[in-house]
Formats: sequence, C-alpha cells, structure tokens
Amino acid sequence: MIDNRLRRRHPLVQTIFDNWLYFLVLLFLWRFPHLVAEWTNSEADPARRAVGESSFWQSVMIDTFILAILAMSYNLMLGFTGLISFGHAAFFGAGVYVMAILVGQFKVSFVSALMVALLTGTLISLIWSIAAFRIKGVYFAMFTLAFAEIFFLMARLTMFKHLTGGEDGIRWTVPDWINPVKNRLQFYNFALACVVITFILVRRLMNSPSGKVLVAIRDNETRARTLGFNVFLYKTLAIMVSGALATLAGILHAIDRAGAETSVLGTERTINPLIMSLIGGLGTIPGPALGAGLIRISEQYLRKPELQVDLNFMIYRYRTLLNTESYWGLALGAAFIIFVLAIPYGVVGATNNTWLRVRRWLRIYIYNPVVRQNPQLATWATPFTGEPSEVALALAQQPAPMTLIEWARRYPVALMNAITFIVAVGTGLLTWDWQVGVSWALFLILISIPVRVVLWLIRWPKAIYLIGIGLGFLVPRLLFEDDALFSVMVGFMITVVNVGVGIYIYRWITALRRYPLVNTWIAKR
Amino acid sequence: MNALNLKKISSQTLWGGIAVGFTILLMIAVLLDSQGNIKLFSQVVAGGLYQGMLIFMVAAGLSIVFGLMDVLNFAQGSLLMVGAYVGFDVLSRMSASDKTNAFLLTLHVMVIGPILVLILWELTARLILPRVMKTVEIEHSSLFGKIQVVALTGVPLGFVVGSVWAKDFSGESDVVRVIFAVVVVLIALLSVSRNNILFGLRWLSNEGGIRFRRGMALLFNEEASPSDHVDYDPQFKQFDLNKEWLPLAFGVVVTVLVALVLNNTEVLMLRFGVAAIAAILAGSIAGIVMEIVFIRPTYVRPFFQIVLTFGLALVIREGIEYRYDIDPKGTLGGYLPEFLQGTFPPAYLRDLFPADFETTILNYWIFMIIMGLLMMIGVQLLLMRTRIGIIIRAGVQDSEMVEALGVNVRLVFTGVFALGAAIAAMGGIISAGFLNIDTTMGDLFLLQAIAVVIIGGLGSYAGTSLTAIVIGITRSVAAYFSRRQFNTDAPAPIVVLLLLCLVLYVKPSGLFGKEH
Amino acid sequence: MSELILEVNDIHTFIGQFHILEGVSVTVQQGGITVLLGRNGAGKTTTLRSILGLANVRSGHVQFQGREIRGMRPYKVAQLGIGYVPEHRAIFRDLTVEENLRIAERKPGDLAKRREFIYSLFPDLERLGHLGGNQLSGGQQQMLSVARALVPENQLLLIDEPSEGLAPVIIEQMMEAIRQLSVHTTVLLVEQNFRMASQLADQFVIIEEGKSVLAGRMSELVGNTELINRYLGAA
Repeated sequence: MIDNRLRRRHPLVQTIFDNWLYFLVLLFLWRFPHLVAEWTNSEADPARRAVGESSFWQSVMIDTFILAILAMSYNLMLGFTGLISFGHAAFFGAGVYVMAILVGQFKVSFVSALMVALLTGTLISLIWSIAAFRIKGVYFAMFTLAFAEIFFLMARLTMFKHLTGGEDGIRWTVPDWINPVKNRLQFYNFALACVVITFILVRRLMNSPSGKVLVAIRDNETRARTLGFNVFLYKTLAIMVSGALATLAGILHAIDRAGAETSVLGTERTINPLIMSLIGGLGTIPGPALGAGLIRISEQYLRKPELQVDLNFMIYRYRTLLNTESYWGLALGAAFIIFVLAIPYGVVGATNNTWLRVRRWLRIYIYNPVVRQNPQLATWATPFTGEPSEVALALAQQPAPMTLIEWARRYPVALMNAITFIVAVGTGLLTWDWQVGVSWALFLILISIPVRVVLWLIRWPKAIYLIGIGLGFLVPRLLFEDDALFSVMVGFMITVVNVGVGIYIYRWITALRRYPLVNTWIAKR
Repeated sequence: MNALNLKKISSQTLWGGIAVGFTILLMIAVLLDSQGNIKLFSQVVAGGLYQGMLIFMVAAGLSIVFGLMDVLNFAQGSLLMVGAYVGFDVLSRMSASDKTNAFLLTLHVMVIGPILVLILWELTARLILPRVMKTVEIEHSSLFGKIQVVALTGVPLGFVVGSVWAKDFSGESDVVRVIFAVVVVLIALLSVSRNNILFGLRWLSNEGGIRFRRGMALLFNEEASPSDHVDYDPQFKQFDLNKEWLPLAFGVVVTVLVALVLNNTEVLMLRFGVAAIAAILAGSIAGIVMEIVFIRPTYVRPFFQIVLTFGLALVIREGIEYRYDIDPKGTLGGYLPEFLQGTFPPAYLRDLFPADFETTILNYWIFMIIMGLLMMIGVQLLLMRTRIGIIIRAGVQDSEMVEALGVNVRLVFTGVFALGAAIAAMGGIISAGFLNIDTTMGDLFLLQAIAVVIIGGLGSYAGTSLTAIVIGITRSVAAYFSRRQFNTDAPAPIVVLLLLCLVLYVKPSGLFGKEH
Repeated sequence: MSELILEVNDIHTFIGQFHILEGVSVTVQQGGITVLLGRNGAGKTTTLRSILGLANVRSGHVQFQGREIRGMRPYKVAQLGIGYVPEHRAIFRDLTVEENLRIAERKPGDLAKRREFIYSLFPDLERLGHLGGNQLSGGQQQMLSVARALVPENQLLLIDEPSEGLAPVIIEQMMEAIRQLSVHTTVLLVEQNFRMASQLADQFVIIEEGKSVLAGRMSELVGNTELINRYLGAA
C-alpha cells in the first residue's frame, strides 16, 4: 500500500536521495580549497611555492583525512568487531616506515613501494588474526600493545640506524605528481579520494551479511559460534581490512611529511584514533571520521600558546589570554573519560538518541493534539513525515502517557535544557549573531546551576561527602598556600564539619525517603 | 596458590621448574661469557633482581586487582609515576630549616607511633598475656577498632611529643596546632569510651528520629511504621579499656621512645621517609578515587572499562605534565640518606668482609631488592594468613557468594585497588631514587609489568612474584649480552616483550594462570 | 499461628531484560521448614536470590522480621541474619575447610561459639579441617556449604537443592542435619526431590512459570496426587 504511493526512482537518483548529506559534505570538501581561496584572496593551487591561506588549510585537511582513515580502520576493529587493539600504531608505522625505507634508502619505485607497504600491513594483520584465534579480550589487547611497542623500540635502536635512521628518522623525496609541497592540491584530492574509498568500503562491509556477523561477534561471540559462523575467519577479515586501511593512512602520512619519525609508532598513534572514534561514535559508520574532523580542526583553532578569549558578549569589556597549549592534552583526556562514562556511543550515537527522544516528545505533545484537532493536517504532513494519513490519525488517538505538566515535574533537567536550547537558538536566529545565542545559553546554564546542584543532591545524596572533602582540600589551599601544616589542619576541620553536616542532611533525606507517606506527600504536591 | 589438585600441581611445578631453570641457564650463560668474573656476574644478577622488584611493585597491583575484579588496570604504571612525582615534589619543597625538621619529626612520630603501638598491642595480646595470665580465652576487639583507637591516640600523642622535643612550640600558628591536637585527643577519648558516650549519642539520634517520624505520621493522620525501632548490638564491643590498658600503656611508652630516638636521626632520612609516606598516601587516594569514580560505574560494561583505564593513563600523564611540565626531573639520588649512597659493602659494614672485597653493586640496589622482597612477603602473608586475605582469595573465585555471606565486597574491592595503587606508588618513589623521573616512566614499567602478569598467569599472585624475578634477570642478562654485542642495552625490553608474545601464543592464560 | 519471619509479596524480578518472576508471594512462619516446589526453570532459585538481593527485583515487597529489605545490598541483608546455601554447593575451592568456615564469621568468635554444634551435625568436617575445598567429595562439599551458613547466628536459612547429585546415604544424613538445625533456625528450602521435601517440610509453596500458584500445609499436599501430578510432574 505504501509502495504504490512512492514513485520508483532511478537507482542513481535514489542513491543521491538517500545519502544527500554525505554528497553535500563531499561536494563541500571537494570545493573546499577553492572556497578558501575565494574567501581569503589566495590561490588554491599556487604555481611555485605552497604558501598562503588556502594551501595551509589544505594541509590541515590532509592531516584530518589521514586521521579519519585511521579512526575508521580503528572503529572497524573496536567498534564493529569488538577486538580491542592497543597497537594500531604498528600498522600506521609500518606504512610510514616501509615507504620511507624502500623509496628513501633503497630507491625502489614509488608504486612498488606502495604495494610492498600494503603487503606488510596485511602480513602484520595476518599475525594478529592468528593471535586473535587463541587470545581473547584483554589478553589480545595486551598482545597488540606489546606488538606495537616492540616495533617502536626497534625503530629507536641505534643498531638499525642505517635502515631506520634511529631517533633522527628518515627523509625521502616524494614523486612530483603527489608531492604535498609542489603539488598540494593534487595530494589533497588524492587523500580525499582515499577517505571516500575507505568510507564506501567500510559502509559496504558493514551493510553486507559479513558485517552483520562481525557485529554479532562483538555482541556475543559464543552465540555467533554456535550459530555456525567461522568466527576466526570473520575476525581475520575485520583485522585484515582494518590493518590495510591503517597502513594506507600510514602511507599517506609518509607522503605528507616526506619522511618517517619514531613518533608514528608510539602509543599516541593508537590513542588518537581511539579518542576520535569514541568521541565521534564507536560502532557508527560516519562517527570516527566526524570525530577526527572535530578534534583536528578544533585543535587548529584552540591549541595555541596564547589564545585571546573575547568574552565581550558575556561580560562587558572582558578579554583574556589563555595558554591553551598546556590545557589541550588534559582537556582531550577529560573529554575522553566523560565520553566513556556518560556518552559511550559518541556524538553520532547521542545525536541519534536525543533526536529520537525529541521526535517522540514532539509527536506526543505537539503533533498528536494538533492532528486530533485538524485531521486534514495528517494528509498534508505525509511528504514530511513519510507516514500515511491513516497511520498518523490512528497514532494520534493514543493517549499521552502523562500530561505536559507531569512530564515537566518528572524531568526538570530536560525541561531546563530544552528551554536553554530554544532560547539560545531563537535569539541567535533573531539577531543573526551566534555570539548572542551562545551568551544566552551560558547565561541560562549559569543561573540554573543551583537548581541543578539541588536536583543532583536529591538524586545522589552521598555527593555531600564529596563536597565536604573537596571543600576541605580547596579552601585551605586557596587561603594559606605557604603554611602546609596549618592548611592541613584547617582542611581537616573543614572536612569534619562539612561531612558532619552532610551526614545530618543525608540522614534527613534518607529518612524522608524511607518513610513512604512523606514520599506520597511529596509526589502529591 | 594452594591449589592441591594433582593435575594442577604437576602443571604448576612443571612451568615453575621451566621458569627457574631458564633463569639459572641465563645466569650460567653470563658466568661462562664473563669467564667467571664474579664482579660482572654479581652486577648482572643484582641488577636483574632490583629491576624485577621494581616491575613487581607495578605487577602486584595489576595481578591482585585482575584476579578479584577482572579489571586490567592500564593506569597502574601511571600510579607509579604519581608516586615518583609526589615524592619529588615533597622532597624538593622541604627546606632544611629547624622548623621543617621539627615538622618532619612530628610527622614521623605521628605515623610511626601508632604503628608500633598496634604491633606491640597485637604481640602482647596474642603471645604474652595468655601465657602470663593463663586464661582460657581472651577476647580481642576487632582490628578496625584497634586501628581506630591506636591512630586516634598515637597521632596526637606523637604530635605533642614531637613538638615538645623539637622545641618548636612557639609561633602564631601553634595555637591552631594545640587546638587541633586537643580536638583529635577528644575524638580519641570519645572513641575509647564509645560504649558509654557513643551509645548515648546513638540512642539519642535513634530516639529523635523515631519521634520525628512518628510526629510526621501524626501530622498526616497515619499510623507509624512498625519498622521504627532501635537496633544496636550491645554485645558487640569495639574496645574495652579495662581489659586492654596494659598493651596501650606499652604503646604510649614506646611512642615516646620512638620520638627520642628519631630526634637524633639524620634529617635526610626523615625527609625521605616523609616523601615516601606522602607518595603512598597520594597513590592510594588516587587508587580509591579511580575505583569509585571511574571503574565502579563501568563494571557492567567491561569493554569500555579497558578503554577507560587506557584513557586514564593518558589523563594522569597529561595532568602530571600540566602540573610539573614535561622536563625530566632527574633522580632523587641527592636526597637520599648517606647509608643508601655509594657501593656495597657500605663503610660501616666493611669489617665484615675481606679486605680486598669490592663490588659494583650500589647500596641502593640492595635497598630496592630488600624493599621488594618485604613487599612480596608482606602481600603473600596478607593473602594467606589474614581474614582479608581469605576474603580476597574467595572473592577471586566467587565474589557474589562472599557478598551473600555478609561481607561488603565493594568496600573490599576499593581497598584492594587502593592497596595495589599504594604498592605502585611506593615503587615509584623507590625507583625515583635511582631512575630519572619523567612522564614516560609509567609506560615503561607498565609494559614490563604486563609482561610479568601475563607470563605469570593473570590472577595468580605467586606466579606474578616468581615471574617478576625471572623477567628482571632476563632483562638484565639481555642487557648484558647486547652491551657486549652492540654496545647498547636498549634491546633488553624488546626481549621481554617478545617473550610475552611468545608465551601468549603458547599458553594464552599464562604459565600459572587458570584455564578459562 | 506463629509469627511471620519472612513475607515476600508479589515480587517481579528481571535478569537482564528477561522477566523471570512475574508475581511470587511466599510467607515463612517463624520456626519449622517451608519448601519451594516447582519444575525446573520455574523460578525457585531466582526467588531465593531475590530475597537476598542478588537478583534485580523491580517491584513488590520483601519483608524480613517486619522490615523492608527489597533493594538493600546483599551483604546488609545477610547481616540481618539470613544465611544462604546456594545450589551447586558454591564453596570456595581455593580455601581450606577451616578457612571456608572462617570467612562466614560476621564478628570474631562466631566460629568458636558454633563449632561444636556444626561438628555434631557434620562429624566429617572435623577431620577434614586442613584439606582444600577442591579435595572434598560432593557430599562433603554440600555439608561444608550448609555448615558455612551455620557459623553466624542466622534467623533464617535459605537452602537451595541440598540433595542435588548426592548419594542416597548422604541424602539421609543431610535430611537429618536439616531437621536438627531447623529446631534453632527457620529454613526456607528449595527441593526437587519430593520425597525428601515431603518428609522435612511443614509448609509448601508451589511456583510455576514465575508465579506462585499454591501454598499450604505439607500434609494437605502429600495425599493429593492430582495436584502433585499437575504442578510437579511425576513425583
């Protein structure tokens, strides 16, 4: 019935129709150097030396592409197959070093070196998959960590200095057609093509039956095995594809830097894709690439020894200098932990989740009542909602689980967040100035802090202890920095008093909770 | 540990024999290669032993924590680094003025006093009193109660004694110190006589609570809940002053004696001791915070748990970099007391050895080996002989059943995590006396410790201890041969990691681990 | 009518996403033995685990001596005086018999007080004290498992399938022991072996497909073959 209403389209048109957002992003990335050149009056493809705004942004984007490929390959193992890899640097470094050694030291041709590099990556992934056959879970993670570390230590050895260059690394000359100094736009397009190919490959793989088996292995390996799948073979597939892609990222890196340095084998090359896929969204297809872009570009803007922060829109005439260089690593780590604890499926997962909830809310409290009043709206809305009017009308008849006021009482934080979001976006759009929107958001969050803290305490009364101990540490540290013993004592006393008061309040709250009548009384009010 | 199954015994003795034989073979190889040069040989062996002990300090925590909670804590190496940096911080801040010395002395008595009181108390109560008094049964109060009383009486006593002896009882902030001491003594007295005072307080609070709730019920015209009743167990006494005044008096006297003795010791040693205490405290606090805030919410998601500990290692390193910047801090060698500097044998022990006896072993190596051995034996005793050890060993097998028997397993988890962290932090400050302090030291130790824990079999403490020594000597021998061959000892860690990969391929659950 | 020691009222328990108990009500009188009957997978073990707080009870009430214990942590529930003997005799294999008993102490001296009583019930354990848990036979393990629950002063014992996989002689001994200890302590028993259950218990509760369907005096059930066939299969 629904099928008859939809016109059949040409497969190509249908593909574009289904993936319009991806095509839009691709179009933007393809035209990006020219757009930047247009905006900044620089050249996208300067004839002699690659200087100027456009070339600079091209190199930043190339870096992002490399990281995106690495993160996507990482996600294939961790997010989709459930193999914890702490040694992705081994693949990446293999790509870099094989290229640099073969072309730089042995003068092998570029294309054959590329083949050998990919082959090396595949070989390593073969060793890994044999390991994955016997070694499971944490043990596999440690195996990969040790494996990558062996290569890292070997690259630094002086006895292989003639080969790897030891701590100094190697330089090599990149062929002209892909040279990022002489022909940057060409390399930009090449790297972009690599990202697109990787993306399509991963997407194809994960939408294929084999991809479903990989996800099944992640969720429950024993069940996948009892269903009759050869788990070893599928794991090998995932590790091989992942390894080859990571090696490809390494090759691109070697071209980009025209050399090899020991840091490409270090733990950082493993942690980076881990953080990127986690922040983007583990187990989602666009997540890792998005995470790579987010982190690399925000790093470009934020990680500076002197970043001037202009808070004029918040506080009148207030500018300050921040040394964000020293905060960057810490902030990244903190973001990582917050994501693992609170948003384990990353930006993409959280957006999907929130959007689903918002849609459900909109349907229950806005769409359904309106449609109940004016049934003809259901017919008009069909092209936007994609559901026939009969279905919409039938769904609209369902009663809401609770009234809007009950909802607001039950989820006060959601209400506050919604109001903040609406006010911020609304004012921002009205005045057509993003700073106004941001300042409204900050203002609303700031004034709602006491309410949020109280709600938090009602939910987790034991947080009172934390506050007491924290005050005991902080106050003397701020007041008497020079006298250690004195501040320890004052801190002790503050802690004792605070925790004492805290226990009293805690007992109060729990007593109220334990007494069912008071609970109903609270609920009634 | 005490697996007595016949099949298991054969497997364990087999692999244990192979490990020991491997070590002996390595040592023989060194002996042959150096043509019987005892000086070189002893250096290689002692070097291997101290490396093994340092690795053990990280591996011990990893092993126990994994056995009990199935958490492989990748941040254990960072805890070692935290210990080293905190020790460095404390040492470099303390200037050698009279005032600081008095503070140090006070702090030491505050810590050592209670420990001695506790030990003496245990000894007298368990060994001497039963023989002297010939009573059939002597009631002990619980260990926790004892620690409470001992800490609360010993700390202020040590404080006062230290302050008086150090003649540092003048100055502005001393008023606060006196108030502090008085407050703590009051709490201690309260604790000692808790049967009278605390009982009264508890009765008051319970009575008040019931009255309040009844009042609320009356207010809303309802009947009071029957669950409102006072519950306390009058038979369960924490401490009885009448019975145990004798050991307590012993302890007090000893505390004063300790203060007297410490008053004449070298200031450097006091400082190093304070730094060690601070490092251990910092490490265990970091461990507790880690367990409660980060590990506990993720027990249901083991997959993310591993990733999280890996990220925690990064955060700790970045935090340390932010706090102390990235430059290496050098070793703590300059802060060491005199008897830990120089080579073995030290000057005051020269007479015990032949006149021409000299080695290239540093005193500090021997110190590290002794500390490591103490730690090894101490943890082994804790595991095998105490009630907490029984709970830990039972929890390794089935923590749910332990909880069903009435043990607060979560608290035990946190405690074990803190213990592992404290050992790692102690390893940190001990290694910092000899190795450069920088932000990568944690990662280096972590990898070696992981190798040890895996080869020894995850969750097997005895296996970890043995393997730590084996790996230490393997590393040292590998360094020896590569120094002769390539004139560098950089390949030594590679050998260990290769060994790890090899063992994982051959026996995925380690040499002494249980097959899953 | 004697006093109620345990009252389980319409509990709903989930394991993961699966709704295992869909309304179980059990009352246990002070003193004597109550038995939970039912087919395999009916939810008897889950009921015991729900009482102890080891399983996730979403709704309903569990009251022990008039105090609500639903949602309490298992160790706190145990400390109120509930002993648990799990199925498959989950003793600690790496610990010796003596240590297995010592771990159950809730305060120092518990074991010393109850040692004689335990050895009078299970004389075997006295000579096995130094052996490891993994060296015991199935029957000895089961005895140890019951003895462990006797170390602290419990008001209620939850015993799960004490006769499972044991030789008939040892089942007799176990029955005798349970009968003796039920003089001091109330027992809530889960038993597949209907003959044993009918000889021991005073009260019964039948659980079927996650619901409690029938409860009453054991003497009423014993003669009633129709009920036995319907709920328990061939007895």
